[in-house]
Amino acid sequence: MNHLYKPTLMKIEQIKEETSDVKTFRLVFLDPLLKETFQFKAGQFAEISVFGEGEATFCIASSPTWHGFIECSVKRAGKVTQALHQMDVGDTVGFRGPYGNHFPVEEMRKKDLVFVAGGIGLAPLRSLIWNCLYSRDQFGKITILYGARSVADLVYKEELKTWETRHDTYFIKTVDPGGETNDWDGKIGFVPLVMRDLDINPQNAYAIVCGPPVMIKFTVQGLDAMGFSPEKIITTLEMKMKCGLGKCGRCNIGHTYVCKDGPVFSFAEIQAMPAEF
Amino acid sequence: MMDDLKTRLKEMLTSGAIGMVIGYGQKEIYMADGSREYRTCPVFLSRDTEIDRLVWNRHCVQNLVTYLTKEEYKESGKIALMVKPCDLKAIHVLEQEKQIDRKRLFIIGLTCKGVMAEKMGIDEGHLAGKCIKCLDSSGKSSAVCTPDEADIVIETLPDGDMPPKGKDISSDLEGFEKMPSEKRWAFWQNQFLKCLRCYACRSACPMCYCEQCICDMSRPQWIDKSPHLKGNFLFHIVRAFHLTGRCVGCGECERVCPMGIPLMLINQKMIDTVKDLYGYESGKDPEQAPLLSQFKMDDDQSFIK
Amino acid sequence: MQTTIETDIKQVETMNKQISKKAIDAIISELTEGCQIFAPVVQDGIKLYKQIESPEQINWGHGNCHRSLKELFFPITEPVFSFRQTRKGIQIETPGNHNKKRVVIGARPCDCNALSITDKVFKWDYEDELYLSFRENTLIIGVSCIQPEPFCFCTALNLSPFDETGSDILLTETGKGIYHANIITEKGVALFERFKEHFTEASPDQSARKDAMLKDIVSKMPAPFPMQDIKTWLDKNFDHPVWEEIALGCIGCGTCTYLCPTCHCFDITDESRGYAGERLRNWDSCAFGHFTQMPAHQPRPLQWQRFRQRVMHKFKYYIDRFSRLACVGCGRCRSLCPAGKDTVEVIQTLQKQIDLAETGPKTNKKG
Repeated sequence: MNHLYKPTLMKIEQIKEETSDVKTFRLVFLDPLLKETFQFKAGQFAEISVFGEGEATFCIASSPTWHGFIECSVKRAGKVTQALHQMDVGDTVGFRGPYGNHFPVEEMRKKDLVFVAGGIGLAPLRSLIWNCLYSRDQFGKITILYGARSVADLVYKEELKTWETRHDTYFIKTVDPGGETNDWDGKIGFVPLVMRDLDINPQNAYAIVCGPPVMIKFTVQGLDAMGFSPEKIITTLEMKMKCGLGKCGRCNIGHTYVCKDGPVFSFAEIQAMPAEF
Repeated sequence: MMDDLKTRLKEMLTSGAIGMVIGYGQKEIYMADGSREYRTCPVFLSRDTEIDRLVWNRHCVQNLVTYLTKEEYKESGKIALMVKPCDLKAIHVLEQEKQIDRKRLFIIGLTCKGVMAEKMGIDEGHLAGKCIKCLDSSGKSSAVCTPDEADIVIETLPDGDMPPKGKDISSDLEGFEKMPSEKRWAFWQNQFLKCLRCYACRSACPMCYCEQCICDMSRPQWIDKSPHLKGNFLFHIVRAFHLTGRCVGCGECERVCPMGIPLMLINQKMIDTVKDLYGYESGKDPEQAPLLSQFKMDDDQSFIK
Repeated sequence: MQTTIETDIKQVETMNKQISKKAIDAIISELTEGCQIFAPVVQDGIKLYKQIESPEQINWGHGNCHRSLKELFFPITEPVFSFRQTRKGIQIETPGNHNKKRVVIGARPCDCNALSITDKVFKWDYEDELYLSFRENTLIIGVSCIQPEPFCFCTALNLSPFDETGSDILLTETGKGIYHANIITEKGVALFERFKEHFTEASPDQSARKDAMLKDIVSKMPAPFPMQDIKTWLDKNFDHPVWEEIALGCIGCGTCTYLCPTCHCFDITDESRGYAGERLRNWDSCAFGHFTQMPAHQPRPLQWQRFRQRVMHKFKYYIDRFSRLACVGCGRCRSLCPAGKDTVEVIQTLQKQIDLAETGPKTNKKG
């Protein structure tokens, strides 16, 4: 019997150590047909499993415009993530997905985009950023503000360099005070504070925010002060999930199933939810 | 006596000397046949106007000590707690294990002559198994809360005639131990197959206060979380071991089990074993060192095989 | 709010028949050949739905099983697949026991009705084949409650102890050993057609007697609660201070959720040994702290927040999502709560809050 909880198999093709506790896994479907035909949208997530250890929820961090593989960035935090960190290239994992809604890419066309990310929160935005850069001419000004606790905690370091050197993106990196190194050439300061000094025009723009809850809170306050309407501030919510299918009942915020109705929400939608996340 | 207590508690609540009274009260419940019944249950009173709800009767079964270590009640200021002599033992263990601050507690010591057995939400019509041995020939509890231990002692006894005695846990255990091992094995398989892992036994136990229970741990995952026979056996064995030398025999785990699993058989066995081997009775004295943190050169070591 | 629900179950125009206890037993005996029969069985003082071999094992006594009917479709623990690491890679095998034909006899109307609630969750958008295949392959013969249990309150939620929803055939004992049989669905008709000779037409007399019985039972049971008003209050009062008070005493076990016929939350976990293992789906409960615990974040850290979640889910969230409330009034949570918490009392407390909001605080002196 085929059923919803039966995963398809994927092979680990590449493992990249991003930080001391984050690794990015490049995964390829064992089934050649699926490898060719698999599609998803930026912002969607998947249930990745290590057989014998269990399943965990990860956003797909690669761009939907890349074909033949997907990438997920995994921060070592629990049982499954620890097991994933111990795996090698060539090992097999289980995959269920893609699940959830996605970033409103269509609505974002012709608009300015402001990406604000903290730490591993860059993972879902990375998918969207590359998605937008793929058809760069269809979007307005693209600003990317990325911060982490320290230089060592920055993920996708090579890609950050690419964004920094590209002429069609305005990229700012920052680390929290004390997290800098001697040769650090970025800013020093918390993301929401650094954001204040940026040249951002809320007219005809979307802000896409992802990071630790406290960063999101102050960033959203800052964006609000700049004049962004809550409908134009987009974030993805992280809740504990098991099924990803709107059945197991643990990601609910009020009657909203984060796994089905989300994980991407506008700040306006979040304001309408009970404050329980 | 109850009136004096109520007056005193009202004063203490008004003056702020205590923040909450956790005691027994009655509530009216809606029955399917249209009648109203009164059910004795724990009440949490923080207004002086509510104090008159307090009662002391034979249905005051629940061990209220269990609430003392729960997060929600830690912020309530000083707590006045209604405590039966047998429940007092649980307070002693928590004191031994440095889980409660005696100064934050106002103990209302009850004088007892037995409470009713309750199983799967139903009054069984006889005394609780733990009471039989405790009661002396006059039907009064041999264990008392002394003024040394309690801040106030209520000498009022629960009303009414002596209910039938029912069976004592020790005689249940004796009968059980006479069964051949295959039968005992089959018995527990049958019992643990029913276990839902609702953890009512754990939640109701005054000694199960761990912030993270070993049964919920995932790194490493010591115990199968699934409620299949193997996982359930593991859970109940680990539970028994963790309560050895700590269980005071209040019987709450068995009372609350929605599947009626006779957990006191296991607990009583452990209680008897530590008493036989080490002469140790948990909860007897808050000053004594916990069983598993003492060592004597002449300790019985026959359990090491 | 509670009345009509759209399901895929093919209702037919209800046929009113009559059948004797003896004939039912004969049908069961015949059905044991070729299909699994489940019925209430009492063992060690506990009544549970169990597989039976012969009709004598059935407990026809009044009252519900201690665990609800949901476990036959959504088992307490169930392997969703087993896996094995081999030289050829990982082999996955899904369970093969879902296509057996099953008959449940003796389920109470509240339990049967609750299935129409869990159906919605397991069916919306993604279809859960594990649950739905059990549902599809199972025929349910419900039995009306002619003597409700002390803690029952289905009538308070506008349901009936003779409710047909969820049963394929509903039996009502109208005389000693005589049952009125409502044939409700296509599945029910199929069974009726197969065993036609055991049924007779229900006399108008008997149907009238059944109606009179129902009227009498319902007249004694609790009157409907204003659930719509409660929903309206819940819509606005997530942050109301009464929640902390309502939850006092809850010890945080999973008894209410596990015994509840409509609670459907679950966990997915792996168990393995060496190169082989299983992925299992187990019941889980919003009453447990670890239910929503993430490595660095806990949205519901305190017990009263978890208690609120359960009440909200039953009486608000589920309605918002699936247009009906997620409680059938079986009373299990009331009768078996270790701390004497009572769902009816919760509803009444909320009702008091509504009155209080309407009339102002002066009229409600505490004490």
